[in-house]
This record gives sequence, structure tokens and C-alpha cells, in this order.
Amino acid sequence: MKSYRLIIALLCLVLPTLIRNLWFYQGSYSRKEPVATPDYSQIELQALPLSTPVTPAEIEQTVTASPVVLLDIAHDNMFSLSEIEPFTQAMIDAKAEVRLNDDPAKLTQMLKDADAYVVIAPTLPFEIEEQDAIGKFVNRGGRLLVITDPTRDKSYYGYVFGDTAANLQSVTIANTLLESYQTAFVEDYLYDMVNNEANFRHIILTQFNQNTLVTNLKRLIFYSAHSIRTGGEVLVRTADTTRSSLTDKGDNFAVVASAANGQVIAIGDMTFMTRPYVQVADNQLLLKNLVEWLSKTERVRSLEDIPYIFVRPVTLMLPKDITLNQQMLEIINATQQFLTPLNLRLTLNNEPQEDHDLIIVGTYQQAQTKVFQPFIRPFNLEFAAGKSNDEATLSTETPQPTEENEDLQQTPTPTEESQVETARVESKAEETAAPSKVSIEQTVMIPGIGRFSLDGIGLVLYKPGDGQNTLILLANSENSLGELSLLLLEDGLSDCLVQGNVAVCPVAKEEDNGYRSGD
Amino acid sequence: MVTESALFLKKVVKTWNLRTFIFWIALPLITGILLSTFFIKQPLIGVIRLNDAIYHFSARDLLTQIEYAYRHPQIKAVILVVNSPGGTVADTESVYMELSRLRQWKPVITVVEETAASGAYYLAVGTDYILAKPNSTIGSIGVYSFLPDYPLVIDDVYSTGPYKLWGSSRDATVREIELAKQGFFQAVKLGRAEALKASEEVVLSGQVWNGSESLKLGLIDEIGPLSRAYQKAARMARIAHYRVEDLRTLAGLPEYAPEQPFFLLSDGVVTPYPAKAGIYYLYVPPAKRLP
Repeated sequence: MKSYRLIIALLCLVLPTLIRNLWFYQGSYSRKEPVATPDYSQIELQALPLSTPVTPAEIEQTVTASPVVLLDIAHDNMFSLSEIEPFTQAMIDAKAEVRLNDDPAKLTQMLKDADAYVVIAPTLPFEIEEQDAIGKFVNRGGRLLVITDPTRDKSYYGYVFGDTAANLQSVTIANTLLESYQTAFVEDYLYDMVNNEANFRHIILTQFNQNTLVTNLKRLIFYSAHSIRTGGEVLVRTADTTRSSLTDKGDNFAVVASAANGQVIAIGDMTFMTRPYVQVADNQLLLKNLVEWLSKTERVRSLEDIPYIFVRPVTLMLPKDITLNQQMLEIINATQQFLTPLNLRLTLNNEPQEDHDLIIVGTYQQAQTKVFQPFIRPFNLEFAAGKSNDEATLSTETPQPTEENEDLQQTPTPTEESQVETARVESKAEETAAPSKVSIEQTVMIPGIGRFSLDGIGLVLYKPGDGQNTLILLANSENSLGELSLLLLEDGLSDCLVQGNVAVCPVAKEEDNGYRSGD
Repeated sequence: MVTESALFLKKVVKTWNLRTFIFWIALPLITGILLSTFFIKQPLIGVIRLNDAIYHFSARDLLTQIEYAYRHPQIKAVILVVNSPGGTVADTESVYMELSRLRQWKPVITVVEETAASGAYYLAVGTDYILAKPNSTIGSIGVYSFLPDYPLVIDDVYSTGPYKLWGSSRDATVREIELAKQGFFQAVKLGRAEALKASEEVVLSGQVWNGSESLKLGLIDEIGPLSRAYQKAARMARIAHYRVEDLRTLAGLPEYAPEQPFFLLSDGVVTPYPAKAGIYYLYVPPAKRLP
């Protein structure tokens, strides 16, 4: 009996626990597999993929003087010189002279003596005059390199103060220089989530066009880059896994482009030329190729580059029997001032000197003499025979052809004999007639430009040569020559009609007694 | 047989009196009940709330609560209620690793309130199940950091190494960011496993998605409220008739007074940008324009 009571008691003791357990717990929690967490120790830090440094190579020079590369720092450019030291050092190693332009007002003048112009991340707009000067510079054979970078798009001023005017993107500004060449940076940045170097912004480039600038490259890495749209030649393209931030679509975007027959290069990244990224992949090789392109040869200077057409000491050639009167002294003084920026010595002589550039100053009559003819002939000027000096009348009206002077208006095809004969006749007439007065009927035909009355114009002629560059100033009198010299000194050729290496400049007509019309 | 048993029982009961009843039934029963309440505790589901960015102070609170849940067997499951944009990398990883240790023994469920972005999502993928609202903000998987200045020499300050004052070079910081990103992505892959439908490119794009979209991408498990999380936790822990308790209270932590980890403007406006330099798993929402 007691055993039964014991069993009941035990049951009463245990049952509440069982019931409570079943009430709250329907099993036990167990995990089949251990919790997996990342193996942080196995995640490797990607090291910078450095390449073998490229040693500075000797760049073959076709001229003795070193090319001049002008670097723009006048437009609130978003870089520091120390950042692009690999670039500037490479240019110096290539024996190029690097000059800085920090004043927009000086750009036109500085471009005259430059072979290449480099613009990096500008954030202040280029004035119309500057854009015009750059366009003409490229037309004259200059090379233009424009670089932008998504990380260098806005000036700090714009960020801090929110000034709308200062908030212009450097892409917008850079595109004003490129629009003539059907090339434009896109206001985006390129990224690649698949093929990148330690970050989605660091894109790997392996598609290169057949161009001397890029053919020896295998792999570039750009650390944030704009894409480029161009009607010219695409030199470097992205992989098709690369996307543009504008569309998030993948494509083979252009990041380096060439235009204007290879005279203009656009690059959408600046970082590749800075340390340490210049030492990554083939970035340094691209930099070397760029420097070679910029400084390979000197640009052949044309008349518009005046006074930088002179590279040697200059001889001012004067006739043997010249008397240095006041006007001549003015001309010599103006010429000296003209050459001051070039640090070139000016000597006077009555004939050309070896290893000297040459300036010839003379009247139209002198231009048709035997002494001047070898220098004038290459320009194929056709001076038309007019009335004799005795019958010369000063008039502001343009003479109409009449039966009497119609024959005289016709310009004979110049031959050496006729030109010499004309010169002989006129030099003889000069001896006897009143000095330096020309009939307004006398004209000159300039090939490619047109026929001009000799009264009221001065001519500037330029002939580059291997051992001697020659500049010829012609006008109808010494007064006019003095005026022409001063015009060149003060305003350059801005008031002149320039065609190739010939410029037609306004000077005062004889009846104005030396005052330029319009003054 | 039955009659004999019935007769036997009748005979036994007849011999029982009150004293017998008390001694052999009542007392054992009462003792049994008392013992059962002592040994069989009502299971608890502990709730940890993250309503702040993840930085030193908030992380310390989380770790205290996680440790409490780990040490107390009565807590059978933990629910992490998240409304956070993320925070510092180190603090996030610290909490993540502690949650992983807890998960070995108890299920942990995440419920996303308004936001589980960046570091907060990092914690979420370290749990067993993720619920969110249809328009919760989820994602921002990735890292960001301000780069250090370029090293320079300061006249009056001497240090013993080139990066003593700057921490590391700018390029090295970029690579550290990439390293942290890889860790984050691995955590997502391990945590979501086969449920993850989005590609690596999409996941690492840094985007945020709403709850519905996140469900399609496999970033979360279910759209549901907190009560659903309780059910799920209970089922996983195999418990019933549980009680829900705030682990902050149980752990004896004071009322949460958040420090300000974000940069304050001079007029007191809080920005979404961190006040201190560093690497962050942090979601910075798009700037709002004033009308």
C-alpha cells in the first residue's frame, strides 16, 4: 500500500515540471552547421600595381632650339605644379622649355612663341579673344593638350561660397576650346564594378588605337575619368563593362581622343600623371609619349607670331647711301624695341649677314630696285605702273579708269627684265623728282589677297629660311615706314589683313601728313 | 479485471484520510509546482533596439545586451530591432562578431523599422532572419571615408614616422576602404547565402532599396511587423507562451542618451556626415533642398 502512495507522490512531484516544460518548450534549438563569418585574415589588401619606371629618353630634335610648351595657370586651374611634377620634369628631360601663363591678357603674345599649349582643369572661362588666339595658334601648327578630371571640376571658391558664377564646371570651360574640333568632354565620371583597380572609379584600359601616342601601351589605369565624345580619332577606349555615371550603362567610352589632324589631344583624367599613379601600369609610358608629342619639333613660325619669328641676332639692312634722318632713327628705335622681348641683338648693315635674321625696310620704289628684288621676288608682288611723279595729284578719290590711263591700269606680267627696267626708271625719276611721293594710281597686286593702292597701306612680308628669317617692311614713304614700325610695335598685326606670310596694314595717306586716318 | 481494480481502488481510497491526502498528494504537488517554476523558467525573447548610428557608445550598449543574452539561458531568442544608418567600421564589425557568437546558441532575428543601411545592414545579415516593412530603407552596402591630407612637414611638430600624423597615405586609405568593402560583401554573401538573388555588381553599387524591392533581391526574408518576428523567433527557438523583454532593461543599462556622432552645423542642425574622420559603413541620405 505504501508503495502506491510513493508512486502517486512522485507523480505529483514531477508532473508539474513536465507539464510546465511542455507548456513552454516544444523542443530544443540546435544549429546544424556553425555560423559562418568572413575570414577577414584572408582578405588581401590590393597593392598598387607599380610598373618598371621608364627612364627619360632622348627626344630627337629637328631644330636646334628647344621647343616651348606653355602651361596655363591663368584660369583658376584645379591643380598644383607639384602635383604634375612628373609631367613637367619629363618635358624638361625632353629638352623642352616649360613656360607658365598666369595672365590671360598675355596669352595671345605668349602663344606666338610657343610650340604647344597645355590646359589642365580650368575653372575660369576663356575670353573670346583667348579662344580666338588659341584657335589661330592651332591653325599655325601649334599643338593643344586639354585635360580635365572629375575630381578637379569645380574651384574651391565655388564649393565654399556657392557662387554661381564660380561654379562653372571645368568640363564646360574646356569644351569651349575643343568645340571647333568636334570634340567635347562629357560631364560624367566613368566607373567599372567588374574590372577596376581597388575601387570602382579606377578603370583599367586595354583598348588602344593604332597611333604613335598609344601603340606601345598595353594597360593604363585612370583614377576617375570623364568620357569624351569626338568626331576625331579615339586613341583609348574603355572596356564594355565600364559605365558612365550619366547613364549607368556600359560601353566602350573614349577617354583619350585626338583631333585637328593630331594637333589637338583631349584626355579625361589628370591623376594618371601624378604620383604615385604615374608609376602604375603603362601610365608613365603614356606620359612619355605625350611629352614627345608636345615637344617633338618646333612649330614653324609664321608672320602672325611676330616678333617671335626671329631666333638669331638681327640685321637691319639699310641702303648704302642712306642718311639716317629722324624718320629712320624712329624706325631703328622701334625695331630695337620690337626685338627687346626676344633678347636679340640688332645690328645695322647694308647687306645681309650670315647667321643673322634680317629686317629690310624700304619704300615701294626701293622695293623695285635690283638690291631689293631677290628678297621681294618670292612674294610675287605685281606693282602696277602709274602716272609719273610730275603729274601726281593727291586725291582721296579712287581713280576711275579712263581711256588715257586704262593702259596704265593694266598690270603687265612682271618679268625680271621689266621689273629691273621699272626699277631703273623709277630710281632715275626719284633722283630728279620730289622725294617719296607716289601717285595714288600706283597699286600692288598681292597673290591670294587682291590689289591695293599703294598710298595708305604698308606691307609686312615674312620669309622663313633655314639659316635666315627675313622680315620686310614696305611703305610709300619714310614717314609711313616709321608709322608702320610703330604699328607693329604697339598693336602687332591686329589692325592688319594677314594672309599667310603677307600682311597689309593701314598707314596714313600722304595727304594726312602722317596722321593715320581715323585717329 | 476492471472490477477487481475498481474494488482495489475503492479499498485503497477507503484507507485514505485527510492526513494521507495532504502528505502524499498535496504536498508533493505543491512542491512539484514550486520546483517546476524554479527549474522551468518561462522563456524570454529578448529585444535589442538599435535606434542610432553605430559608434563607440551605441556599440558598447549593444555588446552589453548581447553579452547578457548570451549568459542568460532563460533568453531563448533575440530580436534585433533596427533603425540605423550604420556607423564606424570597427564598431560595426565588433557587434557583428558578437552577434555571430550569440547565434551559435540562440536564434537572432532582425526587424527593420525605418532604416537598416550600411553598417546596420551588416549587422542584419549576421542574423538568422530579416524582416522589414514594405518601405523600409535597406542597403547602402559599401564603405566610405574621407582621405587624409597629403603629408607635409610642420615646423613645430616632430613625429617619428612620415604617417604618424596622417595615419596613412591617401592611396593606402583607398585600399583599406576596398578591404573593408570586401569584408562587408563576404558577410552579405555568407549571411544571405542562396537567398541572395542580386548580382555582386548590384549589391556593391551602394544603392538603397525599399523593403519590397529588397525582398525581390534576396536582401531580406520577409515583409512583416514585429509581432511576426516574435512568432518566427519562437518557432526557431521552439518555445511557446514566452515573454518579451527589453534587454536594455534586463541588462541594467540606463536610459539611452545618444552622443552626437554626426557633424553639427553652427546653427545646431545635424548633418548626416560623421563628426570624426574615419572609415564608415554609413548611409548618407541625399541632401534635401529647401523650398
